[in-house]
Amino acid sequence: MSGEAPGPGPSGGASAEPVLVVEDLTVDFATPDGPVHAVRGVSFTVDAEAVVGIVGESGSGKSVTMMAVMGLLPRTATVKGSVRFRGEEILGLPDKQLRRYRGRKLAMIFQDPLTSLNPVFTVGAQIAEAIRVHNDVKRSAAMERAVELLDLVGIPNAAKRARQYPHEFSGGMRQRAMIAMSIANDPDVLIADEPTTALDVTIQAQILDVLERAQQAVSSAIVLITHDLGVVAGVADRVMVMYAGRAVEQGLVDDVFLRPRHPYTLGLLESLPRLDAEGQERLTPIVGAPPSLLHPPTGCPFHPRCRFVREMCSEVIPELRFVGGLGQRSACHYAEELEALEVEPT
Amino acid sequence: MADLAPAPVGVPELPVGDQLDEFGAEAESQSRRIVRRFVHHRLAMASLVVLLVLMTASFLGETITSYRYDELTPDTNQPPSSKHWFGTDFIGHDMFTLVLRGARRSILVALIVAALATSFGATVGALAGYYRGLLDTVLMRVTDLFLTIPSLAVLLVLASRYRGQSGNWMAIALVIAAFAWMPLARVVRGMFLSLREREFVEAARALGASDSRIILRHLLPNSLAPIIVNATLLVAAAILIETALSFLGFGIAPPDTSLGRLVAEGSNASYTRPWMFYLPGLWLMLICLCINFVGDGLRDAIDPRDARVRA
Repeated sequence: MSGEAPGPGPSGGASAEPVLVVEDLTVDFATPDGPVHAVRGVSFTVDAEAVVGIVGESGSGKSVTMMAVMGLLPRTATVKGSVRFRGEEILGLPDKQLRRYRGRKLAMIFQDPLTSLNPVFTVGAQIAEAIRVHNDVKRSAAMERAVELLDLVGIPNAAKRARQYPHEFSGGMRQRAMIAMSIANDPDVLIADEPTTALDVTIQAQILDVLERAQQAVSSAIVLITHDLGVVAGVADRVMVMYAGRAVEQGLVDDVFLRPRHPYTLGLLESLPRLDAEGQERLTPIVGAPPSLLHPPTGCPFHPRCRFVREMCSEVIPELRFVGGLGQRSACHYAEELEALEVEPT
Repeated sequence: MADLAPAPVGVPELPVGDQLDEFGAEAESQSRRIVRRFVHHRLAMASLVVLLVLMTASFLGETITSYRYDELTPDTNQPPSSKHWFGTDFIGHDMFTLVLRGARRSILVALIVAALATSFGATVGALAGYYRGLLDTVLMRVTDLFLTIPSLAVLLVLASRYRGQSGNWMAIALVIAAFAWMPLARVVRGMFLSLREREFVEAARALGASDSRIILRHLLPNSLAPIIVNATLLVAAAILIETALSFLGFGIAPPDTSLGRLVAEGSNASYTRPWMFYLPGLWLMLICLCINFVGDGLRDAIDPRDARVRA
């Protein structure tokens, strides 16, 4: 009933039936300089109540992928492939039908809580409004529920706070309010697009806690888009590493972070500062800059920056294929050779 | 959903009236802030008081002047006195009674014009700005077309159809409104074009909100400030346009009267009986001036640019 999953790998969540299956998703943007290939054939599965991390640097296509899933891309975007929610194809559905999914089945938390709240309404009224989009309830009942939700996400004195405006909330409080709004309709999948990026470091851990609490409250899955590997390591079950619009490595978090099978993942891990490092080790940056999506390099998109680069890399585009056990997949011709390298846990 | 109820958070309820936010500043709602800023705008407040007095007087009309508008007093061609505050005309009408009655009609016409033009202009602007594309192009070219038409000439032609017909004031209001909606349409379109790209709109869409919901619940409330200011200023402009039409003889027809008609009738006697020309004119100017000052005050009070202390 759920359709064929692209990878028969073991699920990281509690249930075996995936809620969201994305297959061979391609997104092109028409620009005056020619098409920009923002996402090129990305496939992944989100199991019920699982946490999937999508990591990659800016412009790697992680946000665009999820916006495409929600059907929120502008008209200049051409989206191909398949997105199935509980077995139903939702890609390409008319806006009117997609609206039934948005908020109620798939909810989104945006990066910047500063601008994601409407400045002219009270926070409580906005959460109530989110409830009333999908439920035919009275304003007062929706407002009561809004206060409950604010309480759930740890906003003290929720009843009073609900009557305040966004500008009276601090950044962390606003993101809590956004999380409250996103779970208002019991979604099955929560998409969090860099939920902690705009926030103070000290607030980040709290927000991740709140996110997990919210997830448990409505038993949803989470797709966590981030460029922070630490966040993914701490929260996610599975991870997908994206580079230049492609998934370059997928698998369970422990597998990918302990035994990376792609030079890019390896590079990302090596560029992280380590608290347990002895002496003063220097961080190893990944040399070069991300490729242009307008004119991507031939062959493997990572080859101009790869320290293991060989002749074949600039000629043949590597397929994402199973390497190692437990459903770990990598898009590197020489993934097996990376097996010898062990990375210490972060 | 009952299982969602969280454990009670152990934060004591702050006493009402002691509402401090995390910065220790008093929490203040948007509307309260606008009212406070408006009240502190001296010129606007003074204008509002004068305007309210003028409008109350106009709508009370004959009950405060002790003359009826069609009453012919034995005093003809009297200059202003304690008996006839604004004097009398050449057949003995009390001018103050006529001015109040004319002002009432003028204000009513202007309010209708403002209501019609504002709702139509805002609708056109909202649709164009939100949907963009072909609809935007069509609507905006029509708006441009209306802006290029020499409106007074067309107003005269249109109004001439109702010339001299008693009770034509509704039609006059419609005709004026037909040429008053364009600036607001452009303003609202501009607001919508920028607002629709804001993240809270995307957030609303991600929550499953429909287009109409986004327009009515998110975009329109955020554009309310310029719309209100524009509508206020439009009232003053409409009074002046109605005056111009009536002055040229195409406006309000007898037995109705308006400030424009009174000014027109008095203009023949502006040298010999100046009160018949200047006093209705003064009343008219005072009303328009006050409305404009109130509009400016509103603009200053609503303008978010210096209202935002921290964002």
